[in-house]
Amino acid sequence: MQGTRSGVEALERAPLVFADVYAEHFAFVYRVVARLAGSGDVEDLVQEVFVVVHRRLHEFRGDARLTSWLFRIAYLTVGAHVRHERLRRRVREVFGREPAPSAPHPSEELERARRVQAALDRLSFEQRSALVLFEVEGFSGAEIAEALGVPSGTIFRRLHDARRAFAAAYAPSGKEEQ
Amino acid sequence: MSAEREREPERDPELARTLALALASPSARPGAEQRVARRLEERLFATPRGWPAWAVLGACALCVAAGVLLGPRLLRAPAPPSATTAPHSWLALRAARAALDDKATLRVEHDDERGTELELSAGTALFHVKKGTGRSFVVNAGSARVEVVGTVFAVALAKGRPSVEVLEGVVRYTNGGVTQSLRAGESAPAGTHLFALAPAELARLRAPVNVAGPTVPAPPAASDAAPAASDSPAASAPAVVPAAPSPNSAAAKPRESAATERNRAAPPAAAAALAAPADAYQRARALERQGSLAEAASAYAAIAAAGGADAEDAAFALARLPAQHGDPNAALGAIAKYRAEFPAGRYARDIDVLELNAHLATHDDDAATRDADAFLAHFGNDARAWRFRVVRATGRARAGDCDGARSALEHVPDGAAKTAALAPCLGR
Repeated sequence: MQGTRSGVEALERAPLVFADVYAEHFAFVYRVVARLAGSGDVEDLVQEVFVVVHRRLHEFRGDARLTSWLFRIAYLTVGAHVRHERLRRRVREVFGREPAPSAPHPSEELERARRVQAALDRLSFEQRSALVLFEVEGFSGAEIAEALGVPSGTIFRRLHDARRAFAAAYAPSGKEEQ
Repeated sequence: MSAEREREPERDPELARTLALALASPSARPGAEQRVARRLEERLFATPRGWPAWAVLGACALCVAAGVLLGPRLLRAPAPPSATTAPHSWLALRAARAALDDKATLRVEHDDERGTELELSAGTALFHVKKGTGRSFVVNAGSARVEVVGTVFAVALAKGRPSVEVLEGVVRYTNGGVTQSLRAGESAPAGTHLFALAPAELARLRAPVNVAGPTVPAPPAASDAAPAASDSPAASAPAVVPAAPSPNSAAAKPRESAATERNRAAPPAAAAALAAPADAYQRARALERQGSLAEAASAYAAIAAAGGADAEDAAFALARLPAQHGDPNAALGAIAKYRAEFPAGRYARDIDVLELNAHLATHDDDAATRDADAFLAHFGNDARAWRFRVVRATGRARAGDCDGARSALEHVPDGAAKTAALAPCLGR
């Protein structure tokens, strides 16, 4: 890329794609990343997703829906990040550097959110994604399966396992939820 | 696996509410799109500003360690194939640039609106082809045909045997009736290494290419050749032979025929010709960025009228400007003008989007619906198709065709636009 033209202009004058994909699908990618990541810096992850999109856009042949393709990239990017973060946290726990869990928050709402987060953290990324995308985002099992390139049965199994695991992790101290 | 796991389970609204407590908001914070865009721009397009000291020190330490460990082995190894090739000459085409070695003989079969087709009859040529121009780009070399999907690749023909190496992007390579896609890092025959440029030469090869015409003026006729413009004797230069154009062909026009740039010895006049249109466009862009919209529009109009390499960009800008600044009727006029001048232009689909927006802004719903139907009939997989789907669904929903509206929105992600489109169908 020549220095004589700024990156934005290069984007604008590039024949199609990246600038348009960014402009029109930013909100979609943000939403998916926010839901998959759960917490953390969503903007950083969205940036990572679009770096991959920029690198691989020429490979998109239109065989699948663009949103499915973006969804898959977001899923893989966030999945790698979540696994890395979990590993880092475990290492820090092993070496005693992870701060102790915070005391129950005086706000009931925040305390419930903390417990839900803790229960979600007990799920694998695959289970957690299936649960959140199906229950919260309203994707159908078939849509999730198509985007991830796996059979629907796999998604249903993950969903089933995720519900059980979440209920087990959340229930002991969550009687008020019943 | 139990039957329970085989079928789609029922949703659990209570569970959804509980889960949502712990999830980040799905709506981007104000300015998030711009913040991420700025960071992407810096990351993807900015020139490196120098290495931090720790990186330099780390690299030095690695070099020393590698030298100690591998030095004896490397001393025995033959010279690596990555030694760079000094291009003997350059070729500028409508949407591509090529570096040629001293044995290259390249014939330009055609280089026009249809695309570019070249015949390499000897030597090696490294090409950089601008992506997404919609034109075909083909190099024939002996029995092989290399069709470019994009972007940097080398082709050689030695003793009648063709070979190709892809540095970036993808090419379709056909030889002996067999077609294969070669991606970056791949070559045919496998392991072929043809052409490596020094970084500065590679940057030159990748320099922006004008799609509307070659980046330097066409060479004068043989009898008018100016020897001072070249430091290579004509006899030793590789042959670059434009195919004899028919009198009516686009290649017959001087500014559209292929040209060579001999070893960076382009005359100052050629350099000026290269720089001038881009400067004018840059000035117009700068005016637009400063908010001097009337002056920017005048500048774009002048560029469009001049008919140079940036004319199409300027014509598009003349449609984009009023569309972005609340004058849809002026935008529609500029759109019609763009279409008349560039019926198969690079911005054709962008123009479709601008027209749709202008029709929506002027509340011409019938025209917007026609726009949507026409666009989706041809470009259903385009990144911008969702906008047209929403318009189509809105029209159907208003007409009471709620099933049709939902069907039109099948591929549209959930969001405010989708909800608004289906609003007339609520409760049905």
